[in-house]
Amino acid sequence: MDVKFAAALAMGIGSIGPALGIGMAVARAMEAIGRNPEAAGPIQGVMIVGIGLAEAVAIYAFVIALAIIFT
Amino acid sequence: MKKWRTWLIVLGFLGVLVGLYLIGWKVLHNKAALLQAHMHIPRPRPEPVMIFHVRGREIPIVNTVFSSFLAMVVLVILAGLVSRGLSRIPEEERIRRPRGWQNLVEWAVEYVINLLEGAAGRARFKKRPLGRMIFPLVGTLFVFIIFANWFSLLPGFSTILVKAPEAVPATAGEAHAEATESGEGTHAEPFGLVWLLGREQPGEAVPLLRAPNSHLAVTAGMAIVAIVTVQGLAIAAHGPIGYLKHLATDAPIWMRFIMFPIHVVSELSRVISLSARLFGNLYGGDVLLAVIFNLVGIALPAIFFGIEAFFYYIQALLFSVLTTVYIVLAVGGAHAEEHAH
Repeated sequence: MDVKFAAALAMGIGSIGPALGIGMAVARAMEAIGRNPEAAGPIQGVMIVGIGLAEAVAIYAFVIALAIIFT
Repeated sequence: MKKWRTWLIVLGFLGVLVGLYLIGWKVLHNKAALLQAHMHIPRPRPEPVMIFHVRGREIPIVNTVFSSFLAMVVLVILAGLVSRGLSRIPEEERIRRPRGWQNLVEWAVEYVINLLEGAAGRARFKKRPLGRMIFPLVGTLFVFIIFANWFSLLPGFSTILVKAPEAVPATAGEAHAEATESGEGTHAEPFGLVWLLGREQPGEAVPLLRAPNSHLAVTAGMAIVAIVTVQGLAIAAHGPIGYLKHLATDAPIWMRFIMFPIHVVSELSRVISLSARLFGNLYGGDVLLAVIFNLVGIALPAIFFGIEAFFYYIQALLFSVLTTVYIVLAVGGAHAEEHAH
């Protein structure tokens, strides 16, 4: 039981940072699109790549949580 | 007047959803045992499971590898069928226009080319546009990843169960002894190796098909191919010495001793980040769908299938675009240096 709790903590704490990062990235991208609507396409592409890079951290936490549960 | 109608439609949609949910809830509570028997989804584990042997017991086949080969075969057959009666537009414009499937496939190929060229920008490798040059590799990765991902959303994946082959009698006793000794049996193997090689569950019911990319070895293989290409192109662009200089950056000389190992580690960690991202998303999606199925079992999973389809598309996009960006970063340095000198 306590092992599963450790996995939940790893996932929960580990997803705070990526959530903030993704939120900031999307907020800035929306600001930029609002200022320059014609550049929406390229901005979206770069934004998705940035989101993926930030999300990878949460995925590491997820993989660690799996490692805690399944070993 | 029109506003009212829109709200009515939205309310009706929500009502239908809530009704379906209530029906599902009621059914689940009344016939929980029956549904458990019929709709029980096996709890997914991160390790793929061995489903059969090829050539006696020499080559064990795990279910993710089996379904990735299935996806490849379907892709090859589709490609063969589509490319049978191709019409070429510029020369025969008056006579034949692309019809049916050719339209769709041309659209898809154009989409991927535009994606890669957009990500590569104006980067060039030996005077050739980089985006078009790496399209055969990265486009193939994109097509395989997105097809394997969406393929794994079809019904039957991780729900069709087969009986895994029995253990070899000689080792069966040992395995049993180990299982009773450690209490859990399958966890006796070293961690990590099981994720790569798959697990043996002799004689148990195991899923025949699983999402190919929810196997760390499959994604790691693709990531290694991508990163080896990146390093190879970087060496081809800079030359071996220039490549080492590129890794050491332009910092002052004492700083380069610190920067060099950091850059080497960051290059190598891209393999882990590329493969773990795809694996984590696919496996997480698998777990999410199984949890939702066990929770509600009716109507609600459909929404999550849609969400997962979108996420899987984003992951395929990310894998190919990140590979392109790494290649551009590795090759583009040479371009900048050429201009600087």
